[in-house]
Amino acid sequence: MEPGWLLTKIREKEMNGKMTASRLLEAIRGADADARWSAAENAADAGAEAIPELAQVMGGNDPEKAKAARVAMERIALASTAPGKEELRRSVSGALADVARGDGALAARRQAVRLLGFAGGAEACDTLAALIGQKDLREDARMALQRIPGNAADRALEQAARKAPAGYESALRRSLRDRKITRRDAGIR
Amino acid sequence: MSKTSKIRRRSFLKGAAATLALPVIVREGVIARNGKPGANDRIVIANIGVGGMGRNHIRPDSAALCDVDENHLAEAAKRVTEGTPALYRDYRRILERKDIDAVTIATPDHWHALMTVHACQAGKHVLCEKPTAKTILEGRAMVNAARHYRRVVQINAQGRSHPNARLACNYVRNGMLGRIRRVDVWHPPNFQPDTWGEPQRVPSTLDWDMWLGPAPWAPYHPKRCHFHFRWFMDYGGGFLRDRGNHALSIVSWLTDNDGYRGRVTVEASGTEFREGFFDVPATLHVKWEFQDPEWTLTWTQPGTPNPRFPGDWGATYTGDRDDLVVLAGDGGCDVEQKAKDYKPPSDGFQAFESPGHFQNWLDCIRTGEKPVMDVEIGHHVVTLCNLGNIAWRLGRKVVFDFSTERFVDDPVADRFLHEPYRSPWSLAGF
Repeated sequence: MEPGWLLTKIREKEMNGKMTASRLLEAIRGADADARWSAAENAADAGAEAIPELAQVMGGNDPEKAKAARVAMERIALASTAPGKEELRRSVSGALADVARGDGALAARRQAVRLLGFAGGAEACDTLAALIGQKDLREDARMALQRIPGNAADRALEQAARKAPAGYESALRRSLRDRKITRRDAGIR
Repeated sequence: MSKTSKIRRRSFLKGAAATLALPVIVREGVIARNGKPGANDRIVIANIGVGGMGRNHIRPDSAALCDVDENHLAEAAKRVTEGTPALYRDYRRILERKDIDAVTIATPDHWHALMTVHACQAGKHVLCEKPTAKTILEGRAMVNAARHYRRVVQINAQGRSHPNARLACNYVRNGMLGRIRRVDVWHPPNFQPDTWGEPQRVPSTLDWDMWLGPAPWAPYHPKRCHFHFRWFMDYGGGFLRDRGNHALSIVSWLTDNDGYRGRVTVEASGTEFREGFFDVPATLHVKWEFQDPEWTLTWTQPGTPNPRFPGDWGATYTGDRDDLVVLAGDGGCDVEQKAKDYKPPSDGFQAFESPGHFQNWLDCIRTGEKPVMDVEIGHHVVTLCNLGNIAWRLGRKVVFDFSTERFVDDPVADRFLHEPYRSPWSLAGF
């Protein structure tokens, strides 16, 4: 019942085998758009190793390559969150945190911060809390922390609220409160 | 419009804009009159979001109109022929008015839940455009608010009020296809972007910050805004959550799935747009597998129309005994002749015959009954759409439990249940 275009895509993936970071980056930087997008859409297995260079491509001046790099980074980050892949997830989270803390392009740093909301665990919370001090990343970092379950994210939001720039403490307090919304009380004052 | 009213409107908008930074407050005492309006009482309606689909919600006697785009407001005001509507840029000013009983909401998706919840808290009944909500928790919040504040909330997936959908429902629910084994929905691909979306100056007539509202900040571009918001995951969800909401509403109705509380397994595959800044998939195939009873639902774009009864988009319902094609699922719903010719037995299933979607909403405000596309059904249907998009983004098979509204053994998938809001917006404690 699968449509023809999907069967072609599945066959293509099977023929290419497991994606590696070096193959992914070569295809993304290369001139062949078909190879670039095939690699980006199948980037899930490339792992944390590919993330720093994908962030560099995102900051480049070729919008199509930058988009392919953004897609690949998201595929790697979200694939690492599958149950039973804790070691991979931690390494991806570490690579995303390095990009978020770094001095690369803002688009790449924002994307890394947003993805930490999914792939990040307790180990990412201090980085995100520190980024609340940076105006351009503040809201993305707060929203990423709000998404991460557990005490470490609570503590990071509390800590950030105590050091918050003028006028921003209320946003952090609201995040702390909204983390407690359940399906039973959502929407009720 | 007279010069005087123009000046009045402009000065009001200026004032409204100045209040936008205020915290979200709907005062405790600001509740529409208690009880149900009588059969002859006028239900005073205001319209929030009056461009696009919202134009269709405007009544000749709408009491107030709201939009973040001044051009939309000016056009919409011309449609009100009985009286002069008050014009607002901030929907909270409408909710504060005690004389307004009900509101229609036709904003982009990312506003639906907040505005519906706010409106219920302020005592207003709601007709909200589809798709019901952007996230699963938002949909639940809308249901909670409707029930807790005893408001009638109808989702404007109007296929359930379409005569052809009712005939299809009678045909399928009376067993003419036997037991349903699968439903396959086909649809064209999402719109192709033609720009990389270089930031542009915000038009002076548009309040871009309020348009974004709870969504993450992004620079203005006309193809990120009106209509085209559908092609961004931060505001829309592609055709799967747009027309898919219509198609899956009809599927859920015909297969008697509205009250399904079991598990569903969802997987999705697709391709990206190589060019341009839209971030929904270019092509998408989603498969939902239900248990008890076992049956399969698919969404394919681009999909192949059923040659027996072709149309731009539609679904083939396959049962043990026969199959049936239903086209579209919105105001343009159509079904094969055999369903139109079918007469249900007198003791058989008879689908509700809606007097029209808007009228059904007004009737229910008067009677207190649930409307044909009650918010809880809307939440169920849009959850199916949202599950497809979540499976697509995660790139893996997920299992969702409708009884708990959580994913099974996949804690990171649960992080997709809600999108944190941009400050100062919140789904709690308005």
